[in-house]
Amino acid sequence: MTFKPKFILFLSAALALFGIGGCNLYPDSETRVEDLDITLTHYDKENDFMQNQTYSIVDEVVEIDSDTNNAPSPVANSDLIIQQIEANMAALGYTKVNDNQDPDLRVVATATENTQYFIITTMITGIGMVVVGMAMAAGGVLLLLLSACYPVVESYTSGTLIMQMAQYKDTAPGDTIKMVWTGVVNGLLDEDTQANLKTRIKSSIDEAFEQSPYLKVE
Amino acid sequence: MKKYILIIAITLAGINVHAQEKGSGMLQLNYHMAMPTSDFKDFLDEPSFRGFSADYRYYAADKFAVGLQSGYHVFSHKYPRDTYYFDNGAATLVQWRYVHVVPIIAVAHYDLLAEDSKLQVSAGLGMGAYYVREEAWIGLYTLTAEQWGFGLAPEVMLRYNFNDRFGMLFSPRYEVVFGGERANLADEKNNLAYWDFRFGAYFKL
Repeated sequence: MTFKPKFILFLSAALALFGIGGCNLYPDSETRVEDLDITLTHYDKENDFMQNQTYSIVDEVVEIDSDTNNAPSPVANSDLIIQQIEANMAALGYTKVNDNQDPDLRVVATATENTQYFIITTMITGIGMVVVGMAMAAGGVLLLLLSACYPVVESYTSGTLIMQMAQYKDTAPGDTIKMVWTGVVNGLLDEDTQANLKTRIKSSIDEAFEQSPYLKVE
Repeated sequence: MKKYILIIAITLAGINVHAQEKGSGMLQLNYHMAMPTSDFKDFLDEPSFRGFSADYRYYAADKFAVGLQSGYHVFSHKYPRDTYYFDNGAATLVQWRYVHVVPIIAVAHYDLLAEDSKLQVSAGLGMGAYYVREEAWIGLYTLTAEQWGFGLAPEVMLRYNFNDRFGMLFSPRYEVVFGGERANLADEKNNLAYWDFRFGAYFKL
């Protein structure tokens, strides 16, 4: 039997096709921005949520800035967030009251924004490939490498919404307020349209309350 | 049909080729498919179609070879958005989980059929160090756990010699890496075990 280089070539191609040519390994451009959203809740197991029936809520969602000299300012979708929290509280059976009506719970919502920068090495595409082609034609291996790969600074901005409930009834000024429920929503702020961002905010707030059936008024 | 397969197998096994004699060597290049089992399935329950390895074997005696093997395979799966409940809270998220495995192991094999058989069956055992890196990608964050562990890999290998220098092989084996950490929210430590199916080509040296 004779040695057949063509067979080995076919085998190598088949292995490359099955082993490497499939879907991308890591989350890629097909990943939807909402796939990166996280909703977390945490609650005080010792707290008696069944005693609560009323709540009050802040007027607006303010951004927490790392620079404490900056005055708190409302975030872009403050009204939408407040409305969505109120809708979920109503669905759970709570009655909204003012602060001076001694509510059982006080709901506070704040937000943070964070931009991360990182460096990636990318490949030239499109017209850049013409440069690569010219480099190859010129036979300059170093020029080819410099043309084909170059570092790029990329960034993304993420946002975090923090919703908190405090057991508020009968507290007096100066008393320690006990936080009994926290909901955190985290996701990308850029890479998305405003319309889809609003949809994501609403659905993420809904998820936080769906995770918390113990909040339901009896 | 079974009769024809048996006749073909016996015929192939009877054709004489260059034997693997003491002092000869063999280089193998393999493609891997793997299937998680046991506790590994709790972290990632999807087959892997991404793996390769290279082996070198030296016949220390007729029919008995020792050698080294190294390679790489990766298991991966995207888990759709779901809610996970824990003691005092819950999390709703999409997860991508990955397990990267790099074995660096010593292997020993014994050929079960005649030395000059065209179809060869061998049984063997691999043991050595495994680098394992587990990743759970959650939102914009990544949980990782990496370790070097001791592992075992008992296997059976079927080889078919095309000529005195080249052949193909198929080798199912069971790989166990002891005491691995899990890159998930639970603080668990379990063995990493999976079925590994190798398809490859070998070159006699």
